[in-house]
Amino acid sequence: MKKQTLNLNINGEDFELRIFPNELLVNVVRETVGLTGTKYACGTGQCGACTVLVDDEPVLGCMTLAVSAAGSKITTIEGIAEPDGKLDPLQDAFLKTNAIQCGFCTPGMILVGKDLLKKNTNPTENEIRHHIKGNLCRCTGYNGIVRAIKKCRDDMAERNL
Amino acid sequence: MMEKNKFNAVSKITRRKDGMAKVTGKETYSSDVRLPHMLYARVLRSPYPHARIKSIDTSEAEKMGVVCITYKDTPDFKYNERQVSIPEKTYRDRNVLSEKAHHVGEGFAAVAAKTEALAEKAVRSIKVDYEVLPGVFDPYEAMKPGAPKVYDEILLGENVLPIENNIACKRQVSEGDVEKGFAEADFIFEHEFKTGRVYHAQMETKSVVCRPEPDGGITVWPTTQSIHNTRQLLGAIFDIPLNKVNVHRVAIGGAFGSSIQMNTCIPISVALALKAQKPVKLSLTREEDMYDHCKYPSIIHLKYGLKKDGTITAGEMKTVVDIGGHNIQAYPLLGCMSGWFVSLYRMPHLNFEGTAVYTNKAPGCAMQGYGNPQVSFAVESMIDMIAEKMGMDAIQLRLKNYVGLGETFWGQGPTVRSIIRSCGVEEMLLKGKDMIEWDERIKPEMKTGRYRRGVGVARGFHTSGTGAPTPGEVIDYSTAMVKVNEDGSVDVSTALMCHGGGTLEAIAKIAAEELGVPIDKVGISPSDTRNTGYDVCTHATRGIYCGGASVQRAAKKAKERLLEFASRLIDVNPEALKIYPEEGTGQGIIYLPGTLQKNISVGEVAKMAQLKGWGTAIGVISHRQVNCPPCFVTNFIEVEVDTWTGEIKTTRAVAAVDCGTPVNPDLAAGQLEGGLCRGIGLALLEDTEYDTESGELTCGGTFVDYKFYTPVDMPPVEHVRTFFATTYEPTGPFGAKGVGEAANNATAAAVANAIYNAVGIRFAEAPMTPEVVLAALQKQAGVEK
Amino acid sequence: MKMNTRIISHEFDYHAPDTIREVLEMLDQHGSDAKIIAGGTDLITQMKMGKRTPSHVVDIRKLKDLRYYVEGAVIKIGAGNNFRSVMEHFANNVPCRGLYEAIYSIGKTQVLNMGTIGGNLSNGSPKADTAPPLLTYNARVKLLSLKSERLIDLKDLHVGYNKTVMEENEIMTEIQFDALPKNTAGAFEKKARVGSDISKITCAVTVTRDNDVCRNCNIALGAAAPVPMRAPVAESIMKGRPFSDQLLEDTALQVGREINPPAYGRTSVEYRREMVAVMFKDGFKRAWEQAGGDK
Repeated sequence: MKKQTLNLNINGEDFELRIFPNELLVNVVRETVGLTGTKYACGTGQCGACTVLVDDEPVLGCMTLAVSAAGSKITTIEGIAEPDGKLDPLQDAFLKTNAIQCGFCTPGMILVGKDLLKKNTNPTENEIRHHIKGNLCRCTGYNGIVRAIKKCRDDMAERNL
Repeated sequence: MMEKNKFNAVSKITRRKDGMAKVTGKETYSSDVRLPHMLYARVLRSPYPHARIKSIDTSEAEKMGVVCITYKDTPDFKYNERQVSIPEKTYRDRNVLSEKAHHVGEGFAAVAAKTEALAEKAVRSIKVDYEVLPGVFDPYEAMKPGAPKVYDEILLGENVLPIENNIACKRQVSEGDVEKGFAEADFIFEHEFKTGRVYHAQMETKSVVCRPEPDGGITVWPTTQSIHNTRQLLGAIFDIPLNKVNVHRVAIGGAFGSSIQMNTCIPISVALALKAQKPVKLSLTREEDMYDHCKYPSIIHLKYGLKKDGTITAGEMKTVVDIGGHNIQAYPLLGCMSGWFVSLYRMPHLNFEGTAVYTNKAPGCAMQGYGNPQVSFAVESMIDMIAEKMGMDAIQLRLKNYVGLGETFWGQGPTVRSIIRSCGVEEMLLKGKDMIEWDERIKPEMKTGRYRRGVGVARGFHTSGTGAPTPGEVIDYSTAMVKVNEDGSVDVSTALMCHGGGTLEAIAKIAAEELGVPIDKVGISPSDTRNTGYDVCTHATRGIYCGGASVQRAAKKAKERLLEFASRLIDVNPEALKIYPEEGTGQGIIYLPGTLQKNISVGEVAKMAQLKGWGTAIGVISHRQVNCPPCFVTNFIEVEVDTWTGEIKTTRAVAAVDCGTPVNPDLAAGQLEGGLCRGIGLALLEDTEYDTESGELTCGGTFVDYKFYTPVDMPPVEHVRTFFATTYEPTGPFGAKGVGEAANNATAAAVANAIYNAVGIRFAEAPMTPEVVLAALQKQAGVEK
Repeated sequence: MKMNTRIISHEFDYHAPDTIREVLEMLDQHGSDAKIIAGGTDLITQMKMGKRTPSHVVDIRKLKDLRYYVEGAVIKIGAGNNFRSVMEHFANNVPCRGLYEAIYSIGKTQVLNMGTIGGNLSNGSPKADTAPPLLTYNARVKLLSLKSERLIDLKDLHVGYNKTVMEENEIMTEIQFDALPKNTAGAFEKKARVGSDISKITCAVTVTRDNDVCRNCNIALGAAAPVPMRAPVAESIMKGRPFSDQLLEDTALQVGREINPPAYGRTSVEYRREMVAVMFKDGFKRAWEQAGGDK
């Protein structure tokens, strides 16, 4: 097994990495690149803490070979605020509604929630819950998180009026 | 100007100070710590539940250029990872690495390498010759003569303690004459209740980074709820003076009690780092974590005697707790269980007998409630059964017998007693009853159709810390430093930990309130063991009540100094001065009440004091609370039972807590919601089972088969309502008590009581899975299986 | 404990060919040393647990040639379509409602993006959620190797627990079935422990209605036997008869009798029999409504 060159664009920055083919995207993002906002929590695709966006779609970093993402655009939680630091509206909603407890699931929740609001600007509570059901949270019982996504939905609707 | 009796910071909804880091992915958890030249560790763990090593050969691993240690290389020091009790009551059965496995997953050897992949390869190359011993998995089997012995002897304090019949420890507590009490009763009720071996499933697996220092010391970034206890135990194991053991506080990805103890991965990484002379990181995989800890399961035999009018004359609880392969302080657990039992309902005569038993399973440890959800499940189910049998309203029976205002409360077993000075039990029961439309309830036999709904209630409490007037078996105090900076901002420094619930947010508010500065002006300092005084641990729902009290006192001291400086500048007696937060300037303003003159900002005073060389307005306090008031909790839950499948859905819930003054109202409500979710899981879903052949978890140790609730399993946001009792705890900081553990203590019983109201079947064993429920429904309907 | 869910511990070479032909050549060359990776959610878990240790991993995720749909008398689905794409494609397709609901039940956003319909069927699991609805459509799958192409009935694909008839050098390229008749609708029922979970047991029903007569009622079950299965005897009870509550009860009982599940965990065989009966009734009622007897 030989190291391969892997070109990735992560959060708008180009990286030329040398990695083994058996390395997982979550570990490359965390250990090789040093973006530790993406988490390892279950390692079996059950919890969503390792979620990153590959070409704008949420995928599980713990179930993705890093080499298979060659040439893709990767977005992690560190990459969704604007360059000047202005938060993404959903980050802002999580902050304002205190949808966070320990915060370990928060990056994955925000990335998946953002994906929902991109695809459906007016989701029902049921649609919200279904869209984030691949992301587990042990602290909140989910209500805070659902409220945050609803708030972001409503804020966005208000802005578009 | 300030309105009387209104808080400026406490009880205000603010954006949590760690929120920005958490929503941007920049918060640093233990598992995120990366250091230059850091090595990655893996541990060789036992595939057998009970085995001794005959020989171990690490030569293949060493050829790979890794650093390798075995049980032969680690200090010969027995420890108990939980350092909350006094030494004489601390049972010690653990080594850094062991030559004997007491459960699958116990560590024998470890390696550190440049990559985790290399470490994994090296650890798998270690050859072990095992003497496989017969295992024991059931506590009753374990107590039988001739059963496999999990231990021959351990240490209690400094003394050797032989272990007989696998009994780790026992505890018996009685008051009055229980037999006399039962003799006085008109009715006797007796039943057995069981709860499962739930796994904490905190999202971040336990992790640690240890860096050896040039002076022979170590710096550690661990997953922990207590940096000081971690420091002390590492100092003792590795014989390093404490001033050379520095343990940092880093964010924790969920705890629920799983890191009260110094986690076993920590000393392993220390041993590797000392040998490698490089930083070493050891992050558990999920499967390792699941073999590391779980909630104590319980079997509780409960008996109550009552007069015809519903007065309890006597109560008796006998419990057997299967603690698994290590004793992570089952002795205080049993004491606490007696306290939970005694403090729920008045009993003139009582008896408690608890037995903790070793088996070859993953060790049990504290998990949100420390025996309280288990005890409350039994007692609160039983109260409903009694009410049903006696034809009384379940709420009235509770109101008649609950331990409340002015009565004695055992906050942490028989040695930690205090008088209840604030109590919202009645308020919560009566208000919650209206919110859930309790009076609309109909009896189960009047319900028809496939889907049947039922409403249940249960109440409970948790202790706020473990303080008491006299030093007991449990250590409890906190240290805080509050200092006013030269621009009027404030630094608060403590070793308290936030597990996510908002403890540090609360202490910032307490400091702001005491000082009269805006909450935005208060910062929480990063902390480590060198720069903070001792704090026992953020456990036992003590963060706000005990930790917050120390912060309030430190802030008060800093304020006194500040006002003294101010008095020199504006020529007013310091006793006459007050401070309020001014919105416009964002400063605390020192003023003389009744006059608009003589105002000066906190920042100006602090700056002038610096320039004039008067010093810094600073307060440092070590404080022990002499009470541990109960934070009461009440849950009303509505479930819907699918009588065709046995599936149960929670459809509505009302959760209330009497936390005195809610310091963080929205975060406290969030705790109630989270507690509900986990409590319902305890009732209906979660357990870990073992294959008694292999000694392995039948779920395999991963989330593929260990399940907890997902977003779609909980009722809609609007159907989960929370509220706070309107109480004020006179001994707490600004009237506050705890919340944390109370949040899930009553839930499982409320679910069981709701199921009874839906279908008329009493389930006394959790989890109540669809399979179990359907079988009982069919039995009820007379269907032959 | 020889597993590590944070990393893949064994070594392999990775290949991401541009054409199906190259994929087939690689499979031909490496035989059992090679494994196909599409979505990755199954293979990577197995590799982490040490259950599979291929020396060559062949990535077919980027093969556009496996991502297509053909509508007409025969409906064709490229095996490389991910779950999301298939779910969206069939979102408003009443006859194929069962397939839509099956994928919806898989449900996790990330897995919908990653997992493919071909992967779901090829891994051989009796729990594969897409298998039961496709079985009720009498679907066929196309298996391709360097030297042959064969079209087999889906019901013949699975031959044992996690076993299929696929040769080591074959890949699945297409799933196809004859367009379903008018007045047809379907449903998929799943029992699981929590909202996003592997199936405890599943039931797909596809019904064709002729006013009050049930012209056809195809029933398939997942996790009910070592392989996904149809319930032919139960189907024959319904077929061609006017609907009645009694008929539904009789059919449901028979569905329960036909399953052959392994007993494991807390889910007894008896419980599963009772569950499939209930699930069949629930699914049938929804499908019957939708099938539009009023047309």
